[in-house]
Amino acid sequence: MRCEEVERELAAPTPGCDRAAMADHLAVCPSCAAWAQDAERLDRLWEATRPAEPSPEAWDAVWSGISAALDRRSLAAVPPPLSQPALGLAEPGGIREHTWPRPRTAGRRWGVGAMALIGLAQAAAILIAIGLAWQPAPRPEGPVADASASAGFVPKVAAGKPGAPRPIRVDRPVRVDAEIDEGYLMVIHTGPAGARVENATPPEMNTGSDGGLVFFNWMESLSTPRVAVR
Amino acid sequence: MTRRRALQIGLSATGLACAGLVLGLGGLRATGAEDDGKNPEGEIVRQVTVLGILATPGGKTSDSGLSEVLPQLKQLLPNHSFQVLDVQSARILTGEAVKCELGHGYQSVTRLVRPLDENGKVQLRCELSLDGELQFSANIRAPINQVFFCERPFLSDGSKLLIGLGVRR
Repeated sequence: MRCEEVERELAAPTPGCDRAAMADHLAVCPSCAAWAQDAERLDRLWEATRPAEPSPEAWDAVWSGISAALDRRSLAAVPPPLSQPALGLAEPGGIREHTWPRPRTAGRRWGVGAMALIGLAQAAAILIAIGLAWQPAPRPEGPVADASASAGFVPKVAAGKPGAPRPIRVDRPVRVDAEIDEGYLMVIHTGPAGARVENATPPEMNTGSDGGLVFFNWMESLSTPRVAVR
Repeated sequence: MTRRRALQIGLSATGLACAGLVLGLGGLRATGAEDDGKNPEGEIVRQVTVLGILATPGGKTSDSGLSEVLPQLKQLLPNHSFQVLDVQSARILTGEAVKCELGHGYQSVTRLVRPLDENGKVQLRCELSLDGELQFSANIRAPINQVFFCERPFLSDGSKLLIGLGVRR
């Protein structure tokens, strides 16, 4: 899997995702692994801050309160019969206060308030989590690489985000022919001074403890065989 | 036991022995082919393993998976921390390659040029590109079953790229 696919999958998991391929990628890609850690942190935060789900009884009470309030409102909208004395208009002495029972709004307020609180808490949790997830991963800071020009190797810093370490680009590719001797640990260096092949054989090599072989075995154990490209 | 019966048993035993001999010779031949690193078509195949490591100067923490080889890495680049960028391994034929995605736009392609030269070595070409632009190209003649490294500046923070390569039959 490529980095973009993994990041997409981390953001919005799909049922058809190849989990094994994703795990393989995460094991070797620090950038995506950091994304995965962020996503996991977001999940944990969500679980920690998620408000308790109201019980079915509480939901029933809220909805019955709402429907009762709506019923009362529709009843209130219907004009009472003219014979109803409560209107007061028929009474001698003038108008008196409406005596229809007023709708009980306390239950409705509680239900609406509870739902608003739950919504606010969820929105706050989501905002905090998004804020944490969008924080850039800490990157190692260090001295800027020597960008002095020399024959065959003219490094320059590639364009990127300001402040973030950027790849070192060369104007002309460095070409080197190297012969690796048997039984030695060789390193091909390419740098401002050009290319050189260094014999980095440790003293204990070839004396029963072959560091190169240990490294080679470890490399192979780490890798997953892949189909070659032609 | 009649002579006829003994003859039948003898012939069966001889048949079984011949079949075993044929199977054994076939197995030996197959094993020999594998030792030569040849596929059934007779082409020489090599297991090429490529590992990309980010070495950061002054860093304190390395990938936990690197603990086994940390002493070797510390010998190569003292006072660095290490992080695995990518590792790939494949059995490839001449002209085929193993690709590693190293992040930040870097990609390495290691191609098998000659699986066996006159000195008994394998010839590889290891190329590193940045956003598709070639950065270095190394023609390498290396013994089989031996690891070696290419090292190069990686990022502007002073970090280095260490590519470990190894070929097996």
